[in-house]
Amino acid sequence: MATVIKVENLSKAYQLGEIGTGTLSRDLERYWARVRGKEDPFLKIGEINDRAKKGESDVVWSLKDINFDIEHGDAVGIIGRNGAGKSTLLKILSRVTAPTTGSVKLKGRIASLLEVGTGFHPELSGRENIFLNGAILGMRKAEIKRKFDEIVDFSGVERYVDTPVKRYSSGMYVRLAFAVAAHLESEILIVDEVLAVGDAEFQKKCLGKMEPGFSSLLPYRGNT
Amino acid sequence: MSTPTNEQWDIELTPHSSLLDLKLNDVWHYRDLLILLVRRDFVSFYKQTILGPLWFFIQPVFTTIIYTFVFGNLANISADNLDKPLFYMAGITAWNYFADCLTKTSTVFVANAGLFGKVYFPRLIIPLSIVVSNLIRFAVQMVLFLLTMIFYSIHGSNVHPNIYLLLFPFLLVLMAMLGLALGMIISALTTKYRDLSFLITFGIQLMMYGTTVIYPLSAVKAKYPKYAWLVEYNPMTPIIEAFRYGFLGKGTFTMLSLGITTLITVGILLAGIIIFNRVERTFIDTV
Repeated sequence: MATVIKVENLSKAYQLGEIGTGTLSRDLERYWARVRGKEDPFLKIGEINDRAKKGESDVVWSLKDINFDIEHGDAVGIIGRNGAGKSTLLKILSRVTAPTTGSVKLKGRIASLLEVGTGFHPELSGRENIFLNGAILGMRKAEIKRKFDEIVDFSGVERYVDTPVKRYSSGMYVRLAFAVAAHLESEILIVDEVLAVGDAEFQKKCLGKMEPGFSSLLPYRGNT
Repeated sequence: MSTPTNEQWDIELTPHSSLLDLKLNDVWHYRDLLILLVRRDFVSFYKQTILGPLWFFIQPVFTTIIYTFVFGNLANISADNLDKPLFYMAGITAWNYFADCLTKTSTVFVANAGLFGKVYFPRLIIPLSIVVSNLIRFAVQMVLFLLTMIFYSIHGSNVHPNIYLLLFPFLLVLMAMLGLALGMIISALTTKYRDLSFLITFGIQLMMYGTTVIYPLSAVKAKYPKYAWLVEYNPMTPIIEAFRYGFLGKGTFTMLSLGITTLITVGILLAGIIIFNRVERTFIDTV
């Protein structure tokens, strides 16, 4: 099997506390350090991430030197305590934010579902939102058109497809949103606790949809 | 699926990207999203309003009336021997497009943080969709301006549309690029320093007075020959002057001044895209 995700020495630092006062002087200091070819002065003092203890510095490493490979066809779950960095890792993999150091190499198209219904506009109908959301996830219009019936069928909200989504129940909303994402032709699927919503029948349907051909990353939190 | 060798990676995520990677290919791939976003803006604009698209008309009409009264009659500022309402409306129509593009793109990161924090797509799509959405509003205001022009020329006004009208599409692109570029720079900086969002609201007002919206360049040149360059080198000035010249037959611009404006605009736009793309990578951590 081929490796489709390769993570090498991946680290991500976050700044604690308020960002605002002193940022300009801090930025200038960092810039100056970079010009002289030195290490970033604010990253040096970062320490291990333990949310329960009060630390010395205000920089924290959410992820520190992570290495792993994921093969094609693997389904991987990420487990950890609150604040362990699960979502941070997924955010980096789905390109929402860049790593502080290290690199990630990916093969194939990525579909990431950090939240269902991202970009849904409450005033627009289900139909319009399928197109909008599909496009946000990276589908071409023709592709969405081709799969439209399939998406509506999967979501099981056909009756409401021309109603603005602000009138939907939260379950219907999630059904529609997930249906769009599930029909994205991708080799890698990244999911962050989005299946917690939706009834048992729908959850089963979604998990069934994920199985063939996907490499998926699922952090589990609480009971799904 | 075939077995790719280890060198063939589709995407590599690293802490820093190359400065000159403008990611325009990526933008092109998402062009359907751009169209859908424009549609969304347009459709949601109408929702829950009574007057709907009429709002596009009301603002320029009232602004023109007030300007004619205050600047034209009360303060007696020259209007290049044109009919005052026409003179102001030309300036307002063009300026509004630029100002709208600028103010709306300047909040892109802060306003869309929720969306940007959850899904990846080329962020440039959003400012681009704003520029295109504003075109609809601009088109409506242009129609109003043309109607006013026809009305005045029937009533024997000295309106002389000429060959420079052909510059119009070019001027429009320049305005869009300039508004987009400045907006993107400000939006990138506001992710960290919110101060700029305060600056923009009155800054755009002040900038209007530094542009030839309510007075012609010829008046500045006559009255303050020493300081006229301040207004002249404002990249918006040649655009508006050329716009007026093409449609109404009065305005002070040269091909050289328009050329300089173009150079400045392209320069700012490149800088804008580079800054925008840099900030885009990690802004979600600071916004």
